[in-house]
Amino acid sequence: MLSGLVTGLIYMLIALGVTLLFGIMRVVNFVHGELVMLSAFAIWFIGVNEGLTIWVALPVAIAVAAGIAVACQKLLFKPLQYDILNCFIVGIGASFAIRSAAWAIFGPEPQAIPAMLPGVIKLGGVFMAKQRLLAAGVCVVLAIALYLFLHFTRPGKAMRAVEQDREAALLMGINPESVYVSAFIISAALAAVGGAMLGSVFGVDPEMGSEPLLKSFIIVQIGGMGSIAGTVIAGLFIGVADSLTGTLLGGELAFIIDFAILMLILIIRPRGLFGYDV
Amino acid sequence: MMSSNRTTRLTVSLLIVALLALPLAMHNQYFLHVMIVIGINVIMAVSMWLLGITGLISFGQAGFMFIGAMTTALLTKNAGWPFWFALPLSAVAAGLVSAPVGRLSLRVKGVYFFLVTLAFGQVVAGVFAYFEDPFGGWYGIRNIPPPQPAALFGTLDKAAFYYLALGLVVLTCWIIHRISRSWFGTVLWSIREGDLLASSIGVDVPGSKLVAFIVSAFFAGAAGSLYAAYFGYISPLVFTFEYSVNVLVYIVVGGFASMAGPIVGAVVLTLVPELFRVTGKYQMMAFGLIMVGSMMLMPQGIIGAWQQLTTRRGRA
Amino acid sequence: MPLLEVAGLTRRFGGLIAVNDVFLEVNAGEIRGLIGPNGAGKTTLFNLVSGTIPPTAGTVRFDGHTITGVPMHALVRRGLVRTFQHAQLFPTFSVMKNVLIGLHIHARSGFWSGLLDRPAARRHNDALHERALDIIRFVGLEGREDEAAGGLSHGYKRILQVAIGLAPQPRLLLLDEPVAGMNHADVDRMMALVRSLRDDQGITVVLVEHNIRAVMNVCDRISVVQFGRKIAEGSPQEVSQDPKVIEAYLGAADDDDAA
Repeated sequence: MLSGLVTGLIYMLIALGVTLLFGIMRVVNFVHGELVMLSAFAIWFIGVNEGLTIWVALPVAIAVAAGIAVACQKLLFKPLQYDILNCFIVGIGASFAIRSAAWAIFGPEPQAIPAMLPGVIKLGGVFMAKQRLLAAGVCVVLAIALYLFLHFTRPGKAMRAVEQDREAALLMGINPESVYVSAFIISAALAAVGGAMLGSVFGVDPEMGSEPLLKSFIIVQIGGMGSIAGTVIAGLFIGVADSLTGTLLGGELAFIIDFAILMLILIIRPRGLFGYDV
Repeated sequence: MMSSNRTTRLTVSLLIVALLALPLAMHNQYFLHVMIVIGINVIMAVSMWLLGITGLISFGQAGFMFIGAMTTALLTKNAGWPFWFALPLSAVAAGLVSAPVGRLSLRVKGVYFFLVTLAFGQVVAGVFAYFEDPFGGWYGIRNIPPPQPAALFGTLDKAAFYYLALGLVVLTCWIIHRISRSWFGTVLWSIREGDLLASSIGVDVPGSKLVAFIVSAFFAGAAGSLYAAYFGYISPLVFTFEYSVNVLVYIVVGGFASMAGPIVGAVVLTLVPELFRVTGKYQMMAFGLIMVGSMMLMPQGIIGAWQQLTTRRGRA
Repeated sequence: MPLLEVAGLTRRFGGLIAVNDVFLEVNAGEIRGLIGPNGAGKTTLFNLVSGTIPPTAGTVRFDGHTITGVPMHALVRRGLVRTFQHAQLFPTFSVMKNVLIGLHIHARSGFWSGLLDRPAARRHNDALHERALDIIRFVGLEGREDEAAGGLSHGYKRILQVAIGLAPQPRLLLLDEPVAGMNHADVDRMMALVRSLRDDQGITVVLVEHNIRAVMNVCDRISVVQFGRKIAEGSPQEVSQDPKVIEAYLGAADDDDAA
């Protein structure tokens, strides 16, 4: 049950990247899932293969993810003028190419990232891997940090300004282009940390990006595109729901339950719990 | 279609005659097999294209195809019904499922719609994969009986299946072409050009989109039925999101402006991987790169580029 | 009985009240102007009346029937049509096709009849083609039927918009800022067209406009809206001398925090 919550939190972190990008730019970056995967592989490569510590591996992973994200923005999304459908399609193409490239380079076998915090701890009668707790903690801290950043710092407020009214922001001297780049970088960083957490708990393989991506989409849709609070709550909710389904009915049904919840939300409240008017 | 009507009609008629005569000239079984696979892909591409006219891309077409395939598999194998009944019923089954799914998916705009259809496709595969009885689970369903008469379809000679596929392709293309050229088709185009304006002149935008969605699912179901009868084996590993994306790539590469685009795209992108023996993950990589390249460098597709070339020559 | 009756119409967006308890009556055969400073709620009012968005409260009656909350595409059948502020057209379609679509929808050219190409269907299409030409001639776009709508000059685009609005044979036409961004000649041409809509076709017209000169010249009566409320109504002379109206426009020009 608790581990389901942890997984939900990691997915929530990844979903935050999706919702940030969508909120500011109305773009759904399909490559996001592959950023998760590539970051995890980067950490494996640098941390395990090269034997350097996580404190080196993680920043490199973030840099790699951010680099690819910005490359996508400059080479793919911007020339397409951030058109929603075109960016979605081109993102899918890019994600296919990246995923299969990773498969070609790293092979299909899952790799392991050693836990940053090995060992277990006893919590209220249940044994919990310390790494999972660390993952949960990191996700919560980053979610709060993101909220504080968006609401209390200048660049964060600039982002929210562009999200609400691009032209007004322009008139106020905010450069939307630099906001967009920052948005891509931040969302990539979130994906990278998510990848690190996911990799340390579940292992690393080329396909590991697709499920978080799909779950992110469902989370963001239930919580409301563009809403941080919605994403957090929906992420927790999905995590718990998946965990319950897993215990009661078997893991494979979890996705179907998620979809059923999504359909329910679409019937009752299409814009999501906290989303803007559709 | 930019070229004159008579030239087009002549070309198409000649093409059909050539296609009809093909098995008589070429007895190569592998060749016939590839043509049948092309046929299935063309039906999928053209049906996805019809929905695309409204500006909607459904990323769950593989799901409807799977429903059609599963219906045929269960009806012919378990219930012993003839394929010729199972085929239309499979298409209808896909259409029936698509109605509530479409109504729900269409409640949300733009990118939300893509995500919901994507999720739907996954769910179909998930449900069929979970229940081993009667859906076969991850193992799928084997030994799906071929259509009657067994003398034609049960042999090693694929000629009968070839004609079946050809017939379905021609029928599908004819219907979808007529729809796209009719006033309903213009309504669909107008929704893509400006759905607010379309609404303001009296178009029931959600209703029209739903009709397109259901028709599209119907033909996807028919393609699935053909798949099941021909291959004799279906499983969740076939009807994946990747396949839906492949169908989209056919349209993107072939060109969107007319029905010739998805047809050309499906033909080219089925033939080329076969010829170069590109499969599995390498095919995914190729398709991914082709998709990106096409979107960025040749957004009008093969047909669009061809038209640009010929118009320029005409002017000079 | 008035053709259009609006009673207590209100629309809230979260905390913002865009349209606040508006009462309005438009008689058949009138040309009514709807003016007010920026952000007064004129377009929202149009959206409510035309079924583009539903109201938070209040009713709309058209020709004696209550139409509150009826969606826009259904209202078109009843004879209520609106045009949009920005030149909304089908840009890659020809002028002729832009007008024809509306005609076909109004004539209920169905899904199945399109499939089978029967002679009755062809005759039906030809009749609609003729009617489209009539409309195109009436608005003054003759000779341009085959031009792509996106390539027209701004003035002609707006005129095409009116032509598109005429296809469903409306009894009430709501024009949203029909002369926005036009030079004098185009404005006069459009206003002459508006007048002939009423004079020759018997269509009742309500137009939202910022161009006061155009509105004063062509409208029979004018309603003035500010901050979502109707503050004045009457003939052009009465309204132009109404102190509340003067203050609304002059006050809004001085005031830095104008909504």
